[in-house]
Amino acid sequence: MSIDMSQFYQVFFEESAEHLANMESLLLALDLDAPDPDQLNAIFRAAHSIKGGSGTFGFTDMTEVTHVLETLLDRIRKNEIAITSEMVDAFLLAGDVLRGLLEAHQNGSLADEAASLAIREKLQKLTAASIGAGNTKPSDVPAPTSKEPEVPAAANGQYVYQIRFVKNRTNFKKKEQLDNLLQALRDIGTISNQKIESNSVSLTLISSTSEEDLREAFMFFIKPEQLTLTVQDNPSVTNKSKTDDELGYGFFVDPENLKSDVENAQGYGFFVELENQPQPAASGQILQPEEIPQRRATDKAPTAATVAAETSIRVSVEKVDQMINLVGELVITQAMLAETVSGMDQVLYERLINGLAQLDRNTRDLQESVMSVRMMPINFVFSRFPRVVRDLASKLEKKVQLKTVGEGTELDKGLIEKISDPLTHLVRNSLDHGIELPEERIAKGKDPQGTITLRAAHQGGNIVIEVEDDGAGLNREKILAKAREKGIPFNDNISDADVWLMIFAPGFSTAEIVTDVSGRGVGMDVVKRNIDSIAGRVEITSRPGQGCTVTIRLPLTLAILDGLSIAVGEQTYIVPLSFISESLQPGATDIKNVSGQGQVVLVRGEYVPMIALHQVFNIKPKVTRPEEGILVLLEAEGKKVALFVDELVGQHQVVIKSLETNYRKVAGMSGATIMGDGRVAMIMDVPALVKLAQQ
Amino acid sequence: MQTNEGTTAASEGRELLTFTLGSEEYGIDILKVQEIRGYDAVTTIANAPDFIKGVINLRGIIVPIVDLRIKFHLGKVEYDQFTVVIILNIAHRVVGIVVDGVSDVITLAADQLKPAPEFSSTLGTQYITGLGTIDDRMIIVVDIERLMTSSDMELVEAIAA
Repeated sequence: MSIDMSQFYQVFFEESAEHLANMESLLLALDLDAPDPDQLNAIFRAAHSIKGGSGTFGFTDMTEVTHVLETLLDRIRKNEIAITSEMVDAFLLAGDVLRGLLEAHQNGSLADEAASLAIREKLQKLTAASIGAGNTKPSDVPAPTSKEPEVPAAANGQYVYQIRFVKNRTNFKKKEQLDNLLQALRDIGTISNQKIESNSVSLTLISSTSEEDLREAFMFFIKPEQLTLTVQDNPSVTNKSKTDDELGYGFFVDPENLKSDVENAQGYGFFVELENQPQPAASGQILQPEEIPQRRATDKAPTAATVAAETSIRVSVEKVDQMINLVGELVITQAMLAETVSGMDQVLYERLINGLAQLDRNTRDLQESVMSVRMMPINFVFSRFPRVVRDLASKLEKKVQLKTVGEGTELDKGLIEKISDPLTHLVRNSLDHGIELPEERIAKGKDPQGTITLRAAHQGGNIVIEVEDDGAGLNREKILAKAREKGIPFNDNISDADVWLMIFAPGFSTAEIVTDVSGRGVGMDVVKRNIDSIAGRVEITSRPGQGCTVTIRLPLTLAILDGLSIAVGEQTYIVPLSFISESLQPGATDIKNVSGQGQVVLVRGEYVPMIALHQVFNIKPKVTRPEEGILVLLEAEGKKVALFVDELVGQHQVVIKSLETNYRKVAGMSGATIMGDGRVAMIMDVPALVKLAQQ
Repeated sequence: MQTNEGTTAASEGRELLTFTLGSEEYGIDILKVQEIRGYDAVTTIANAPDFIKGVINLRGIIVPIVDLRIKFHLGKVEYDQFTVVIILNIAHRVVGIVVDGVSDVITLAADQLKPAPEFSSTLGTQYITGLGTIDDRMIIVVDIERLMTSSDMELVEAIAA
């Protein structure tokens, strides 16, 4: 009976990616001085789950990397060795390698063998190094379950091991592998009596390493049953270990042994933790009772994860979008019914009207909850930055801490995907150009450690995301000089805000040195373009010497819009509410003609250019004199314009429909929507209108 | 796939929906027709050519409406309860056309279809597949997909731009 495993691949890929992301964020959050055991366990579990999954699906390259990773993690978790920042770096690197392997499997492309080999060696070295160091610390390795007498530790902490193992084509394909093993042994002790025969190797090792650790060191090279390991001064233990090996499994389920289960006919090739480990008696025995359940608990971890997974389901985005569309239709139908009913006799059709009122509430709730399916916390984006900042800061030799505020702020999934690149760019930019080197900061009387703050919040119908740094801030003179050099025209008394926006011009970079991080001047314009494409706006505020803040304003969702409907002649248009600052009825004297062409209107001492919508759109209006109609004051991209319309109709939440699906892009319109009466209304593209007014 | 449909239809004769524009009778491939409906409230599109009447809401889909009578200067342009809109499904788009009237569904055998002579007609000859004769009626068979996606109709972005 064979099951087609490939159908589960996608789930494995997604889950592994999640585990990796989880592992990374945990690693970054880890306090090296006092690591939280829960966090360590969580990291271990993540690695373990990936290993289990990759083993099941036969992605051996991933299994191998996670195996080494897990071995080291396990020791840290059990407090055998202290975690160092070097290890965290190695773990992060291992995460990257795993991600690479995962992608390679996913795309069917070639994996980077060299990288995975390098990280394995690095981790092994760290493990080996820690094995040496490990013994000097009190060890709480699982204690024997049998009442075998403890082996007294030699006075100098050294053991004499007789080691003999099988050497054949399968376990040592290359000579280097044997050399590596021997080198690893040499690293932890002294080798003597080394005899390499055609199919076996025997040697005597004097080392302070415990037998368990030694066996694990061999695990990378040979199967447990191919190894005979005896401690010379205690022959009785040797006998015992042999019997246990024959049994094939023991009391402790050791995740490290998953690898051998393929060969082992008895399924799990768990072998017994050898009883004769050097046990600094007192501490080891006290710990023993808790230690056993703890190990059991981790072994059950995959089960716990499965339970957690069942509370959520994976649904394709198309299905969700289809649902959103259908609910949108439902809302429209409901509105149509409501309008029909509004003309009916309230008393005669009371029940119908009541029923419809209830339908109205229900559809609205339904719409809200369906929309919320697409909403995700912005943490999905923010969570990648600790790593970015950490890596970059060490590369640039800067000290930077990252603060995130409002990670729980939710926004549309589509936006999440599109905002992540621009944000990364902004953060990198802040780090590279904003934050100064520690010495420079000290000279300026600032904390040598710079701070980058990522902040997200809801503000009205918008999401506001800020990237703030406490670095040097933008340099007005430098930017203007660069603008002059680039031939960008500007006014001499240009406002600061406009100067800052110049950095978004293509090819604009004031960085003195082009680094591989940034400074090539491709990037900020891409940032701007990306944000524009999702109807967002960017603002920069900068305080010289104190830092710089980039603010991005995004609509909550791309599918629904709060709009004001306005009427001109027979037509109804929707103006996005976010652009409207106010509506007013002007006095006849407030309207002025400018050189016989355009018209301006005086609004509280400020002249604002006026656009008559009926002229722009060539429609016959009901009123032609602005003082008889209404002016809607619009603001986009920092420019103001007054839109002259016949009347305001009302405020609606409208579902945005593309005009391009069946027609094409219409100048001055950003889309269309269906109104309550079933008619189509156009949604105005306010930034385009404002631009139009400027011409 | 479409060519397959075309060949099988050609051997057994092809089904056409015929409509009138002025005094002329046109036929289009019935497989391209989604539905036929009356003309109702259209939302105009600012600064669009006059033959693009605007867009309608077809059960939640925004569909542009083209008045072929205006485009080809045929027939009397008035909108009443008898005005007919043919909703077409072409090139993965939904488009409506206004015509004078829908007359018939006919089957035209291959031998009944004659190539169109080279003449200058209001409808460019490149859009005419041929002339069909049934009894003493002459039907101008139009490649409606080609016509609607052409740059003349200003319906499709890529070509229009």
